[in-house]
Amino acid sequence: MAKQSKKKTAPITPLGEKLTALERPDIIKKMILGLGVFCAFLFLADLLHIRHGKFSAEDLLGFYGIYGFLAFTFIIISTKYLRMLIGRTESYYAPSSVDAEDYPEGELDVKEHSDV
Amino acid sequence: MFEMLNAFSVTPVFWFILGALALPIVPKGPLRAAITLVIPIVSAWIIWNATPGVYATASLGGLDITLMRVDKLSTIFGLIFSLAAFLAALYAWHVKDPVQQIATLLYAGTAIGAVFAGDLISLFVYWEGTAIASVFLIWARKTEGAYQTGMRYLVIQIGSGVVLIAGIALHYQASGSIAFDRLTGEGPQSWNIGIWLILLAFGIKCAFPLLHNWLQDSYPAATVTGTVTLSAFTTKMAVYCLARAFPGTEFLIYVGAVMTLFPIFFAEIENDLRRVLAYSLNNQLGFMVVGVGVGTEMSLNGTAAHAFCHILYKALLFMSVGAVLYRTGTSKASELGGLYRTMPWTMIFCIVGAASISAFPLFSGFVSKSLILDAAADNKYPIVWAALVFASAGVLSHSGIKIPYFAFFAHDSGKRPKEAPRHMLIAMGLTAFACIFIGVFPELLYALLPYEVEYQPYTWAHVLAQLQLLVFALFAFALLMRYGFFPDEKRGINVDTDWVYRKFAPAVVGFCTRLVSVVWSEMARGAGFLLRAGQTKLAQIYGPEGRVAQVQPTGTMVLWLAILLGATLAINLLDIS
Repeated sequence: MAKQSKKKTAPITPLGEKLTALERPDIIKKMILGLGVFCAFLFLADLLHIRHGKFSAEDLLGFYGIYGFLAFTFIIISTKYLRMLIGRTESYYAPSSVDAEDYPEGELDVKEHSDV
Repeated sequence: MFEMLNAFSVTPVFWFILGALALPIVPKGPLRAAITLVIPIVSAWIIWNATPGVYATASLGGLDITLMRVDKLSTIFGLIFSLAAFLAALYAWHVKDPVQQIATLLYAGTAIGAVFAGDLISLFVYWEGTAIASVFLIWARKTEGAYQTGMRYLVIQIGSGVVLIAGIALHYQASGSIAFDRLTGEGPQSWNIGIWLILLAFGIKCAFPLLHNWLQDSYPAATVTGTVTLSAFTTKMAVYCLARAFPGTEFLIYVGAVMTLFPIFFAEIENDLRRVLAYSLNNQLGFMVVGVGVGTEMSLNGTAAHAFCHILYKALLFMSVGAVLYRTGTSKASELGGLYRTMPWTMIFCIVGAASISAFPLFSGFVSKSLILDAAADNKYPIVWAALVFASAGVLSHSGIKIPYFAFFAHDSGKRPKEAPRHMLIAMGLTAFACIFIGVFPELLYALLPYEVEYQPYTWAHVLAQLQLLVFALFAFALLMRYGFFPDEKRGINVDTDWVYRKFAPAVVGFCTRLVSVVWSEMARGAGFLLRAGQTKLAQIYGPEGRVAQVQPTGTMVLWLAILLGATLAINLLDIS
């Protein structure tokens, strides 16, 4: 009985517990900084090796990095506006779509981590 | 007929059908699940040991039917389909619904049958077989929405079969051949209408742009396990058919490039993570279609390799999101977040799938996608190449980041679901292992490809280029998120081309119906008015009160007779002649 109640109170898994550090603002800041430093390293790494790409654009310093950064930014910014244009409520196609329906419970095994 | 059955019995499909027939008579429980697990192993064993060549042939109504055409192209697709069927069955070990189990067996079996079909008639039969078997994985959800979605799916899938058989008939009439081989001839200008229809049928199942939306409509509507199965077969069967029949068809390069691009934007704003993955699937198909279009040995190797890897990492992603759905009851990003706390293994497997699809070095996508990209570059398609690189950054945005981030991290939804069941974890673990194994040892995959491979993906330039692309994109994500530019996940849907047949066409038909109805009723009202007016007038003349019916006195009659006689006399007297 005591064992059961102990299980019920365990909020998260040990692995999950360790990963909660990822939510700390100082860690997030460090991760972004680390990512920035890694980007700088990759950018400069282009100097160590002269690329002989199939297209001349590839030979520009940091071409892939800049292209990836700009492509990603463009996608995110443009989709904000796309949503305004094509976004609808979940019930827009109801009842002929599953979007506004709950998934049938009988098919699931919804359980809390603390469930024994 | 006996000859046909004899030929059929040596194909892997025979075992899937046998399994499907045996399943209902086996007692419910692990034995049934074991059948779904063993049959794909038997299939893989048959395919692995099959000698290259053409056999299992028969004659049907004067047509030469070939059920087993074994070469490296069909073998690699047959093997990955068998592996996918095995992993999907393992993931679905808990499923007790015999309809889903039978549908899964028949679906996988018919897809494998299509891959080994050496003639277009057999291909058509298996083509329709996949459509009919797979719809039960959507209907098994047993809701009104799933039923109607399944109907839409079935109409489109069967429709593609109807287009295919029409194409086959016209092609046969024009060429006298039903061989399922390269149909490209001297290029599109030399094609008969039948070949165009065959390509259209393949294009429907391959989710070409504007023909694509059945995929995003139906896959998220299937059951938790059904979606994993669906993700593997139909579209890759179509890719195989394109690689078999239309390699080097140049316009497919552009079709494929468009396919890699447009789903990125839809996926980015989609709330249902299973639909995000369906869009992502569409985007990945684009890479394969480009490979078919380029048509060189290297690019066709790329298509086969990418299909192989894609089936694994896409199944892994659908499995992880399915596990979340199974435990929480939802796969909507707006309702999820913070699940890493209690589903860490599912999260890790999801990240492996995300890294694979994003083509991080040491993961499977890296060693397959680069074959296609390099083939496009080698053949001097700079715009297409630029589009594919752009799409590679896009893949990272929706599948690499969005799926794991919004399901397992982002804001804490407060949900603390139990970790996925053990059999799901094993299925995900094996699939994740395969994704990493292929990434680390690509030569094992390359050995299975249709043509000789002389390609080294792990060069300094290549690894650095890919890392730059992905890490800079990750950095962009971090900055956009930190400074609030990243769009929040909101409940809602986004309209796509299916709006045309789900809203616009019914509205047009409704309008036309109302218009015809109004015009008809107005015409009927007008005709009624005229009839009533005529009736009134006639009644006035001939009715009981009408003038005709009035009683005429005899004197009036005599008077009119006298007038008539008088007039006759006068005319005679005038002597007109």
